[in-house]
Amino acid sequence: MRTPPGVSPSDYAKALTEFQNIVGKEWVFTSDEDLDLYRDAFSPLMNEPEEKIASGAIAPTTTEQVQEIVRIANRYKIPLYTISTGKNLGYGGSAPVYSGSVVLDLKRMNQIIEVNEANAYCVVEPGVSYFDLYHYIQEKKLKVWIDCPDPGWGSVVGNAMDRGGGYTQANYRNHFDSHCGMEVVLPNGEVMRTGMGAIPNAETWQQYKSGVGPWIDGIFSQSNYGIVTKMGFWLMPEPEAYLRGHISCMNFEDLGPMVETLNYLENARITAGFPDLGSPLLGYGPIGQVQLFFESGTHMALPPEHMKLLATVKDGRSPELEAYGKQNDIPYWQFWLSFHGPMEVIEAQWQAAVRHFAKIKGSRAKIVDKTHLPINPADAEKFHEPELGIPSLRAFSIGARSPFNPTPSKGHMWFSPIIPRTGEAIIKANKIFSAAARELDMPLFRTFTLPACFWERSFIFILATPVTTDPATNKKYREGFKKLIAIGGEQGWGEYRTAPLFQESVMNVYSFNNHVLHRFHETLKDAIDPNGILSAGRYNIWPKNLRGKRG
Amino acid sequence: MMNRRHFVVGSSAAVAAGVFAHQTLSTQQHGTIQAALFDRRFAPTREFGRVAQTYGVDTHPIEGDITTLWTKHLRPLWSRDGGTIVGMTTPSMLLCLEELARDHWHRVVAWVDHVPASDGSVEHHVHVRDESAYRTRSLIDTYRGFSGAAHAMLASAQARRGALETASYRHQDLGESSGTPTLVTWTIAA
Repeated sequence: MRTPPGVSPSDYAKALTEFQNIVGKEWVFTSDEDLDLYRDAFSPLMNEPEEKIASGAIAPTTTEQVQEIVRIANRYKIPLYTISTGKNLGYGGSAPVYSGSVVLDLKRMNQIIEVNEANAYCVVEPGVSYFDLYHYIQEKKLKVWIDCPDPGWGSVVGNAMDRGGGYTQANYRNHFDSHCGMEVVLPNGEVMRTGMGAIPNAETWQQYKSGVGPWIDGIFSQSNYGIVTKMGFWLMPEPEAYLRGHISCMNFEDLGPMVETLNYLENARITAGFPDLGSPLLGYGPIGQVQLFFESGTHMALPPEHMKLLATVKDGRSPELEAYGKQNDIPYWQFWLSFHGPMEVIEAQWQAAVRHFAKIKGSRAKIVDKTHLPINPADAEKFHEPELGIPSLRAFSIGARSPFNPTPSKGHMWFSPIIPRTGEAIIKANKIFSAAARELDMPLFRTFTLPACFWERSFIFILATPVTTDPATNKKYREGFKKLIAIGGEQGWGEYRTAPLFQESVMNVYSFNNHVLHRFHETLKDAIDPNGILSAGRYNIWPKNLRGKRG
Repeated sequence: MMNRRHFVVGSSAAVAAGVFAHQTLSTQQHGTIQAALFDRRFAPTREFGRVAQTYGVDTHPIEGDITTLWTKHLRPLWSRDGGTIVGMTTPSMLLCLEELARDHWHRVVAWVDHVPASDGSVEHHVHVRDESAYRTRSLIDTYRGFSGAAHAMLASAQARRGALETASYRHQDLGESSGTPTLVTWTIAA
């Protein structure tokens, strides 16, 4: 039996017995076979001695059980690592940051406490997945939408706590921002409610976010200060109609003006759906069509002459390719815009968007989808389902080895830097990261990479760094990944989220005034969790007893 | 931790004694298999579906996306009583199913990777628990190639205890790999 670091076998045995008394013997896991289920399927350290593994796992069903588990962990100094459903592959999965921790697995806490249709919000426990919430809403025929990532198998609470996002309207896409109120078990076992939930018998817990006094919800995301056991979210009222179209421009130099126009339209809420950037000329498809892109092999179907000209592209630019595009009516840039709402409103919004883009000489607009909602379920696969608030597993259809995808990886680590919302920043980031990736022999930023628009006001690159079966290659990519983080930091860019192996490197980039932010994080940790039992090391926040000597 | 022993069985290896022809298998031996999944896009996976039907197993064709199958069949199955399923799919589809199975404390207990080689042959990498290894290898030796893997999974799906054993062999049937991607035959159980 594995034992948590720093815990004697006899103490661990006593703690396990007490855990079993709380949740039942069958919900405390210690066998290697069961603990293998808590390995990170995409671990860049897979099967290496340094791979992060759990010593045990506990799966409670109630907040009260979580409180008792935390109290026991305090008594025996057992390090716990909290997961909701552990589906954040590419960002760590179920494996603990501090190897040997006991995973506190909340997937059995799967109650949907409330879905309020009239005021469009919900309250859920951490084990509720996007599929759970979607099906609950469908079964009860409630007129609200969820916003889900792709794939939609993860936890609603967990994705928000990791500050993940989705694909519908801007004010719902940022899942942490769209939350309203949480219940948290603190490291001493007390339970706390935030916002209006701090009022006994609160009637507006999910209706007003900040309550009064310091608004502390943010400190529980990407951190280890507490265990969130309930969380409220604002939902989107079911829209009446959906419109999706694209704006195309033929010149490389159009990128900057296109981004400026998009920013205005989004910041003014003329368009609020997920903007999706593509380049038909560079063979770069929009995220929303990635399945079709790989399934059909569109990018590999480019004519030989086109493929040959792609080799002339430098930092996204190629006069020869641009001329070829004009001769063959292939746009350099194509921005997809989507709209949800009453048909007459979204048609007007689209027309306004087209009018603004028309200031760019030669721009063209085309409506691709225009439909009343809800759609017939049989038609859902014609769309990128998450943009209609429908969770899907379709993303896994793209990973197969095929003539169009000859070397699928065994997993990936997401490299996700935030950059400014300008065309210049896209080009600069490509120039810097592609040069670095070439030097590091990393398969990133090859021809030209376009960022995503999950968040308002900024761009984000979300690039998969492969995990392979070869330890030497994985080592090279791990080291290269850390160098890319530092190179981005030199430009003032930082990741929005990262896998445990890179959390220290990423936090080191956020170093203003001698790392005062990180020092503040650890000051809080010492005050809130003096025994250091909760998720040690998460986002490089280490308890005092492990600082400088963690494994 | 898993004990991975590697050895190679040549493609011309003699058929081992004591093989289990599928016609002789009692329904009791595979009675716990709740469903068989196959990707209908590829010839070997369609053959897997056909073989599964001969075993009387409830078969489910899929075409890349398993969302509907998971929500309507697998999730209720695993939520209710749990259950063993077998299949032949792409590796990415197995990854998806493996992660979904974790939610119910189910896991991949045996699998055979089918990797096309450049000469048109297929390398079959067998990963099974040791208590079923003998029977699995025998079945694969009997039926060869994709078909052997199908029979092996269906015949030995109940075995899940013991150390993991790995074997590899190359099957020189040039016809069966034509145009197919890497595939995997697998068993998921509690």
